[in-house]
Order: sequence, then structure tokens, then C-alpha cells
Amino acid sequence: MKIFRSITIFVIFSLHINAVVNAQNSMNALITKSEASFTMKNAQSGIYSVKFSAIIFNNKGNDVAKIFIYNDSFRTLSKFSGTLTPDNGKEKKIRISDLSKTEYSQGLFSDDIYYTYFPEASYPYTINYEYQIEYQNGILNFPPFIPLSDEKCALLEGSYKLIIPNDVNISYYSTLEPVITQSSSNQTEYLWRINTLNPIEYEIFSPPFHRYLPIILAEPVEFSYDKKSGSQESWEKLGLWIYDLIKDRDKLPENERSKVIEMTADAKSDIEKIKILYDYLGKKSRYVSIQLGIGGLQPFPVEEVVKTGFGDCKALSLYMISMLNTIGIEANYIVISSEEKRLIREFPSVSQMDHVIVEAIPGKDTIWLECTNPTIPFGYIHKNIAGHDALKITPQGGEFITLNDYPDTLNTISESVEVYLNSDGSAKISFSQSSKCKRFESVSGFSKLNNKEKSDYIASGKNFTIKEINNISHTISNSDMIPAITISADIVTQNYAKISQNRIFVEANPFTSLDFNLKKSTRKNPIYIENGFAIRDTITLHIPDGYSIETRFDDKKNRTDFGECGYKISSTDSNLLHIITNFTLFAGEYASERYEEFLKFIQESKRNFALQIVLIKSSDSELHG
Amino acid sequence: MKRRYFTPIAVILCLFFFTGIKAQDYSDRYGKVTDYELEMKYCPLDSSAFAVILYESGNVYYTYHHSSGFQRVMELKKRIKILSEDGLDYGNITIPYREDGLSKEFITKLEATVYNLESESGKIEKDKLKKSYIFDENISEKIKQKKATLPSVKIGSVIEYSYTITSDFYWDIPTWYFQSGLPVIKSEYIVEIPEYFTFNKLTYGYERFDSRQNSFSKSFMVPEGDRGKYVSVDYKATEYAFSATNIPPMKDENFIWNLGQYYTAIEFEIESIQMPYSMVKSFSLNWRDVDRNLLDAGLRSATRFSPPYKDEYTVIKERDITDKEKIREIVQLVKNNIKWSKNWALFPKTLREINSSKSGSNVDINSIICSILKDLGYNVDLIVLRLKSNGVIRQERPSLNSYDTFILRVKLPNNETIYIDGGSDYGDLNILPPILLVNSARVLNPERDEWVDLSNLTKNSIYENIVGEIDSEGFIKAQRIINSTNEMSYSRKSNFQSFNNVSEYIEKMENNLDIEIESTSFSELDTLSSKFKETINFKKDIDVSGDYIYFNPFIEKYHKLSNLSSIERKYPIEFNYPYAMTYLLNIAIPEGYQVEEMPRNIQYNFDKYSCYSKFIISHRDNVISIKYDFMLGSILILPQDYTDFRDFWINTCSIYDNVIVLKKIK
Repeated sequence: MKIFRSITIFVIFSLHINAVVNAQNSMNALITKSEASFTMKNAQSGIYSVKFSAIIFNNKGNDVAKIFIYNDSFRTLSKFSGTLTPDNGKEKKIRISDLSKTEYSQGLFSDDIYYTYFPEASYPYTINYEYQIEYQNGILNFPPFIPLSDEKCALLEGSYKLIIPNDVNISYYSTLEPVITQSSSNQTEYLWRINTLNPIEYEIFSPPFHRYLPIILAEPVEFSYDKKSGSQESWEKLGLWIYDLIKDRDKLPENERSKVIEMTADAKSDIEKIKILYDYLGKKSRYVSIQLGIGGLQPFPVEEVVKTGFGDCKALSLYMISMLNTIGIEANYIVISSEEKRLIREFPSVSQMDHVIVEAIPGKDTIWLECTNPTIPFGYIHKNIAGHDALKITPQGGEFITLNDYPDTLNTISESVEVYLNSDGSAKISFSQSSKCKRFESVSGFSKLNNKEKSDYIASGKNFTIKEINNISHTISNSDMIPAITISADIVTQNYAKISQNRIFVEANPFTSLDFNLKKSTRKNPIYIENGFAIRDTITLHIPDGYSIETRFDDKKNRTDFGECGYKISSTDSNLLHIITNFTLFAGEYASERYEEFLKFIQESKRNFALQIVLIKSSDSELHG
Repeated sequence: MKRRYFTPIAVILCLFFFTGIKAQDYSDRYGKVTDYELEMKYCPLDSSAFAVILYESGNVYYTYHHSSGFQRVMELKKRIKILSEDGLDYGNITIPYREDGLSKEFITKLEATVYNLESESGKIEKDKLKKSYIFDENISEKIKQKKATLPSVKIGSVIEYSYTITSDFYWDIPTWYFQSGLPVIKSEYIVEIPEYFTFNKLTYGYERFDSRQNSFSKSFMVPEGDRGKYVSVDYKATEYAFSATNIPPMKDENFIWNLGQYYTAIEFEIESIQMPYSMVKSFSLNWRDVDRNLLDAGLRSATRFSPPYKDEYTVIKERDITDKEKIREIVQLVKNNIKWSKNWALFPKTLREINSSKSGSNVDINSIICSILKDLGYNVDLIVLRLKSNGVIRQERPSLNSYDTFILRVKLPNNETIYIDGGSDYGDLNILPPILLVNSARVLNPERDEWVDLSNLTKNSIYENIVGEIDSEGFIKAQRIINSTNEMSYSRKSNFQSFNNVSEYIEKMENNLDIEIESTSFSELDTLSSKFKETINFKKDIDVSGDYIYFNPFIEKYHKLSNLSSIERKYPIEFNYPYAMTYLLNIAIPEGYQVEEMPRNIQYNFDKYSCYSKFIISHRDNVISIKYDFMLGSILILPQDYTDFRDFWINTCSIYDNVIVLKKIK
């Protein structure tokens, strides 16, 4: 278990909202047997055994057969054997020496070791293997049992067994109940059996995969980890153990203390002070991940961060807290999951979290600080933590909290453009695009691009090509801690509209197209929209002289449970058209039966963005009129 | 220290007299950092760069020790300026090294300093790398890396580091990249080679670099007898020095098979070794030597499998069909038995290994096909090539690592030539996957030189025919038949097969084209074939507004504006293969309507690359007919022609936006 997340913000180079649909109907693999057991010897050590057999039907099922065995300073692979049998072929042994071993770590350094094996054989092939891992120096949790990890894969028979000394209390989380027996005079056996699991199919807007599975999580209530013992009976007690790891590590060196005081002395408010220190942290330090032993959970001392100028999320957060405490501002160490919005509340465990942030409390307010990435605007709750459950660590223990989230209508992307259309289809455009909150996150990388890349970004996803682009600029604001980026440019295009002898065909909104790639067939999973957002485009179209509008559009507005969509086309002047297109998708979860309704809503929205306006030469129009 | 007081004045004077960036603004000495470097806020070569390599040098030379023999040593020095947050990761250093049995590489003298300008005092702060932040990581048995992280790295820092790699792999001199993802102000590579070694030098890329060389004498000590006496041996060494300045960064673009081949770099390839009093050991001199070397290294075995499936292929041999049909059946026979593992390889595994896993790389399958065809008396050659994704082979530079796979060529008695590859799941004889369609592949034969062009083996086409009607409700109801041949059929089939089943393919088409598909049929899917036929009956909603119907006569836009949305481009466009396309549409308009307006006939040409697009429309009685042709005659468009080609592309795309207007007859 390690907590070392850093947060990166990516640029999405397209305004299309695409999603990869990876849906299939056939089964790719069948796990015939998946057995795992953990025998706990004492608080320090135990043995984990796995037996696994599967038939792989095609290359999409290959992942099921890939072997990944994770080791670190707390666990060591001690036995391995296996066989691989291709279709109509001879059985081949897989020995421990056939596994590739790597210490590769994505961060700077860790004690992680991975054993891997990627089988290659003609389909369908069978793979069987078993292995044993010895646990030493502490057990924080028993290995989780996840019966399926890939879509379109079924399980025939699975079981998970825990053999625990009688004097050890364990807690577990599963939708299944174990059979508990006294396996020997001093051991208790907990056995979970899973018969047949049908394949799961991934569909776009599906809830997290593991929600469909009878996963089993278990842990010793009282535990010892690298000789530090604690209890996970409650979040409160777990928090005490984590507090123990960080206390005494937050001492700021004297000269740094006085520097912090001096820097903030003239600030007018607490918020301003926090901002000064947050900026200082960003300038002075950087994220480096080194995870060794208990260091996966315990931060480097603040002194070390001050000296080296680097640290991981734990160390940088603790550094920030100690700076804030120095000037008398309350601040807390917050342990959080960057992946899962909801923690399993009834199962207090460290293993559910992977990241640390800071809660700063200037007076009555609360400001959340992400300390691993200084490009995240001050006080902004980014999408990997917004609305997530978390554990606040105080000397009194842990407190279960939930961060607030932004309303969907704040996550906006809106284009505001003025188009001067010529009768040959070319146009001059003054373009501006503004993105807020979670949409800001997708676009904020724009500021890092060079001129060519900026121009490519603006050109992408448009239904016309750019001949010339000038005055590209952007501004980033963060008023009321709601970040926004506005990009603007002057564009010349030769093909804004398609002309024919008497008519001009103009797309009402060639700047945005909605494409969710939704399947039309029956829906299996519920519809799950994690992040809602809103688009609102305003286009002012100057019609060339001598032309008038042939097609007329009535305003359209539709509100459903899933969101809103509509457009409004009006004309205040004979050669001026105002086009407003909007779309809002609400975060939420809906039953699979409502899929048809959802599909209809999306299709309607898509059409709104693809509307075509026909202009006709005025004399002609009169003639036919 | 006193002298420092004068520096600011010197800097002011410099700024006065020179505008812009001058070489003297940058330090070319390791251990010395200039004020300009510490103060710079952005890189003039690329204003968006998040870091810039101020200076980089590699110094390669040889040492000799009587116990370890020759070793190649490389001293590397690097100075980097951090300009923004994304550049902070350059404060982490990763140095890969190798270990293979007894041969090893050692990293020594790793040291690093971080320079920061204190904003208040204007003092230069220096922080050194600490031993406790240097780690070793075993990536695999043979590949390791040293990782280090530097203290006090911030925006504005200048980082300087150096290390030495001593390598037992003395025949291997690292390729030097002058260019990288970052702008480079100055890059130098100095290689000193003793007379015993001869290397080929290969240059790559578009950016200029200087080179010079000179020779001098040197000596090393060898023991004489076993009494601890040493004697000096003189030898001649040649020093090659390369340098480049102000090299812009590389950025990726679409339609490029391999960006790596465009990096400006110099590669050294071992040609021969001649130790004193020994024979010349030659590695590579000309292409025939390369061929010989490959055969010795394992390709000879590829031609000497003992042919399996004897019973089956004897039956095929006896059948009364043409040679070509027999060969197709033999390829099919082997592919039915051995599944392609989706891997490309140069050397085959043993027949036993292939048979036991029933699956193999393309050359595993090719070797088996080869053995059978040879047994039947066909004239089979191995054609060695480099995958397009790995760059192009340069015929003027024979090199040992030129190739990464081979395919087969059969010459029939009637002089017909057939190319075969076991890695093409959707191909046929002569229809190879696009990754193999190189313009320069070699017939593996140490006795003669023959090169073949695989990029234009077949005439590739797509022919689409739509017949249908528009009803008064505003629906197009039509049948769409798409016949694709050769490479085009390969592409469409492989796309089709990437879906799990027909209904997913149909659904995707429905989604993309906004049509409703009523029925379909697909033919020539499973067998080796050069054709693919798709028949689709569909319905499409069109725009009816008042008395008017507006509709676009193109169901699908074959070329997209987004492909070439960039205004400029630095590297060539690389297409997969040339092809011709024809689109025919015959559609009846509803009763009670007449054609109000039709698009004009138009043709766009781009003669330099034999490309054109041509749109012809007509209507007779109540039927509108369209014939649209498109030809892509060339697969490589040079950067200097990009703007013109893009205009051609945009014009072509505009054809797909044509609208036909129908009006109700009153």
C-alpha cells in the first residue's frame, strides 16, 4: 500500500466529445478456476496462495491470462508454476524463470518489483498457474479478491479463503457472506464461494466496473505494519495511526519559519496569506515520488523537503500544513482517493486511499489545496477530488468527510463568435472560447503550446479549415476560485459555407459537434454520468449583401432528466443572424430501461448542433416568393 | 571573487551592442553558468519550450587494460535550463545501462549541480546531488537504469550534470541525437577511435551540423611476460568531432509512419575490427556482406525447415489448378495451422517451437510456407525489409541493423512474381499489410544486388454504387454496394474484423453516417482474397423545409478536413498506398418535386503527385446521377508542397458538402 499520487492536467486537443466504445457481444475468456487463500501466521507474517485457470478464446481475452505479481519490501514471491496449452498443441510449462522481473517504477524510485508473463499461443488456449507470496514485516490488509477484472470474461468457480489465528479480529467487506468454521484448535477459516459470474460488458457511461462484482476486501482490525501497530476498527482509530506517522515530522527549520512569517507579514487577510504560501510552495518545490517501505505511507520530514525542494503528495502537503500552522492558520492532512468518489464507509481501511491534500481553514471558510501541481489554480478542487469522500487526520483521530463538488452548470465551455460571411463562402471570424471549472482543466494546457500548436488546437474539430489565423491570445482567471481560460483569435477561412448558383448553405454551428458514439442496441448497464457540463455557443452571422434567409427555424428548448438542449435563431436586422446553441449534461445515474430516452435526448442535441441554414440570392427569393 | 563586480557592467555593454541572442550569452564550459542562462525566461528557438538544453556533449574514447581488454568510454555532460512547471521533471535523471552475461556497463562519476539565482541578493546558489538520492533499478535481466533526483530544482534553475559510462560492448558507439523534444542551443559529439576499429557513419535528419576529423598517435601498455613488466604499444587514433547549434525541437504530426527517422543524428556502425597481428574481422562492408551476415546469424535456418503437412500439400500439388491457385492454397494451409501472433520478427523460432504453440510471428509462418514451396520446386526468395514504422532503409548505407523482417517472393515459370507474408490476416498473394509496403526492400542474396519496390504492387480501388429513391416523407431509401480491391480491400476488411461482430460494424456505420441500416451482406471475408464486397440497404432522413428538400448526395465523406487542419507542416505526409475511388449515385426524386438547384460539375487536379478529384452531376426525367472520381497517385507528399496539397485536399472535401435543392411543383 502506497500513497503517492500527483495530479496532472491534460489538454484535450479536440472539442469533439469522443469516447471509445469497446463493446463486444461474444465472450473473450472464461476463468474456470480462481482460488485465493491467505493464511495469517501472526500480525507480521502470512502466506498468500493463488490458483488460477482460464481459457482464452481470442486476442481480446489475452489480458485475462497475463500474469502480474506484485512484490515490495513487505511481500516476496516464493513459489510459482504453471502451464500453457495452445489449441490442439502440446502443454508447455511456465517456470518461475520464465517470468520477467522488473523493478521499473513510474515515479523516481520505489521498492516495487513486478513479475510478469504475457502468454502467446493459438486460440483458444488454456493457462493454469499457481503461486505463493510470503508476507513479512506487517499486514495492513489481506490481498483483495477481485473475481473478474476484464469485460466479456466469465467466471466458472471462484473462492477466497482466510485462515486466521483465533485471537485475531478481522473485518471484511463483500456482498457475499463467508462460511466461518473452526479449522483447527487455534485457527478460524472464512470461506467465500462464488459460483458462475456472467460476463460484464463495458458500455459508454457505465458505472465503475467493480460495482458489478462481488469483490472481497478484508483486513486485520488490529494490525502492525513495519512495527507500527494500529487499529482500523473505525475511521477515527485509523486516523490516529496515520497521525502517528506524520507527527514530529512537521518541524520547520528556524530560518524557513522566519521566512514564512516575513513573507506573509503584510498580507491583509488569511486567504491572502494562504495564497502567498501556496504560490511559494509551487515555486520552491516539485513532485518527486520515492516510495520505500513504510515511506509508502509516511511522509519525508518537512526539513528534508525544505532542504531538497522535492517531495511526494504526503511530504509536500505536510510542508504546506506546517507553513500554515507557523502563521497560526489551521490546516489539516487529508487522505483521499483520486480514483473513487465514494469510500466504503463501513470498511475503514488505508487501502482505499491513494492521495493526500490539505484543508486550510482561514476563519469560517475552507480551502482545499492540491500540493503536487502548482498549475492547479489556488483553491480549485480538481476533478480527481471534487465531491470525493476523504479522511481528515487530526491528533484526535480520523474524521470522515466529503469534499464539495461544483454544479454541472459551472463546468462550461462556450464559444462566442462573430462571423462575416462572403458570398463566395469564405469568412472572417472573430473567435473566442471560454472554459470554466472542470472544462478549464481540459483546456488549460493551451497556455503551454507554441504558436503552431495553438493554431492547430483552434483549427481542430471545426467544420471548416483555417486559411489564416492571427492575434491568438488567451487569458486565465481565477475569480472566486473558479478558474477559467478564454482563448481568442482572428480567423480567415475559405470554406465557412458551401455555395451553389443561387444559394449558400451555412452550418448554424460549425464550431462544436457533439459525438458520444452511443450504441443503438439494447442497454445492459445503468447510465452513469460522472461529470456534468454545459455548452453554450453564441454565433453572430453577418449575411452577405444580396442574400436572405430561405429556411426559418422556430426556437427549440427541451429539458429532460439527463440534461437540457436547444437553440435560438433570431434576426434583429435583415443581414444579421444570432444563433445560440446550448447543451447541458447532468451528472447522475439512471436505470438502463431509460436508455432509449437518453439516446433520444443525445440525438436531438446532436442535431441541434448540426443545423443547416440556407441563404438565397434576394432577387431569386422575391421571384419565387 | 573580486572580478565578479565587473560582470554586470560587461553584461550591460553586451546588451547595448547586440540585440538578440549571441553565442557568448551561453557558456560552453562545464561548471560555468552565465547570467544570461540564469535569467532567461523563455527560449528564442521555441517560445513554448518548458526547458532548453543549453549544452550537451559526448566524448567517446577507448581504453585498454590487459585484464578487461578494450573498453569504450563515454563521458557525457549536459546543462539544462528549466523554463516552466513541465520542465521540472528534468531535475530527475535516468541513465540506462546494459549487462549481458560477463559484458557490463558501468556508470561512474555521476555528479550534478543545480544553479539558482537568488532573487533578493542576486547571488548564485549552488546545490549538489546527494549520494542518498541516487538509485539503481533493474528493468530486466539485461537492462538497468540509474536514477537520480536533484535538490532545489525550480522554474529558472540551471541544471548541470555529467557522468561516465564504461562499456565492455566496445563495438557499440551510441548514436548521438543532436535533436530532441527540447530545443538545443549547442550539442557536441567527439569520438576517438583507435585504428583497430572501423565504423560506418550514418547521418539523419534535416538540421545542419558540422564535422571535422584529425588523427594522432597514442599508446597503451601491455604486460610482457609474467614478471609485471609492461611495454608500450603505439597506435594511430582518429578523432571525429561533430557540433550543431540552435536546433529546434521535434514535434509529432499525423500521417507519419516514423518520426524518429527525421531526428537529426549521427550513428556509428561497426564495420570491422583488426587487432595487431590478427586477421581483419569484418562486420559490414556492402549489402552482400549484410546478407551473408544475416544468413549466418540465423536466416539460413529460415530456408531450411523440413516441410510439415506433407499429406495435405501433396494433395494440393496433384490438383488441376494453376500455380498461383496452388500457392494460395498452401498459404491458406499453413495459416490454418499456425496463427499469426501479431508480431513481426526477423528470425524465426524453431519449427518445433512453432508447432508446439501453434502460433508464430510472420517469419515463423513465412519460413514454413517457404519450406513447402521449395519442396514443390518453386523458386522462392526471402525479401528483407524494414517495417515502415521503423523508418526507411537507405540504400547508399549498407548497415547490419537495416532490416527487421522478411517476406517471401515466388517467381513462377511464366515470370509472374508473387509476394507473400504470413502476417497479413486480411491480405492475399501480393496484398501485404500497409506496414510492409516499403519502396526499398532487398532480395536476400549474397551473390547479387537486387532491390524491389513493394509500395506499388497492386492497383488499389474502391468502387461504390448507390441506387435508390427519395420519398415524399423526406427519406432516402437506397442500396449501397462497396467493392474494394487489393490494398483497399485489406484496409476495409481489417477495419471490419476489428469489430466483434457484424452488428457492431453496422451500428458504427449507422452512427457515423446518421443512417438506418435495414439489411446487409458481406462477401469474400474469410478466404484469402483480394476483394471485399459490402452491400447495405439503408434509409436516411433528409431535410425537408416548407416546399423545399435539401440533400447532400454523398452518404459518406471519404476525406476529412481534420486530417490536414494544420496550416503548415515540417515533415512529409506519408500515405499508406495509392488508390482510385469511384462513387456512383442514381437517385429518383419524389413525384411532385422538381430540381430547383444542382451543384456544378467540377474537377480539381494536383498533377505533381498524380492526384485529382472530379465531380459530374446530371439529371434526366426524375433521376439524378452523380459520378465522382478521386485518385491518390502518390504516397509521399513533400513538405514544400504541403500548402498546395492542402488546398487540393480542402477543395476535394468541399465536394462532399454539395447540396441539391428540390422544390414542390405547384
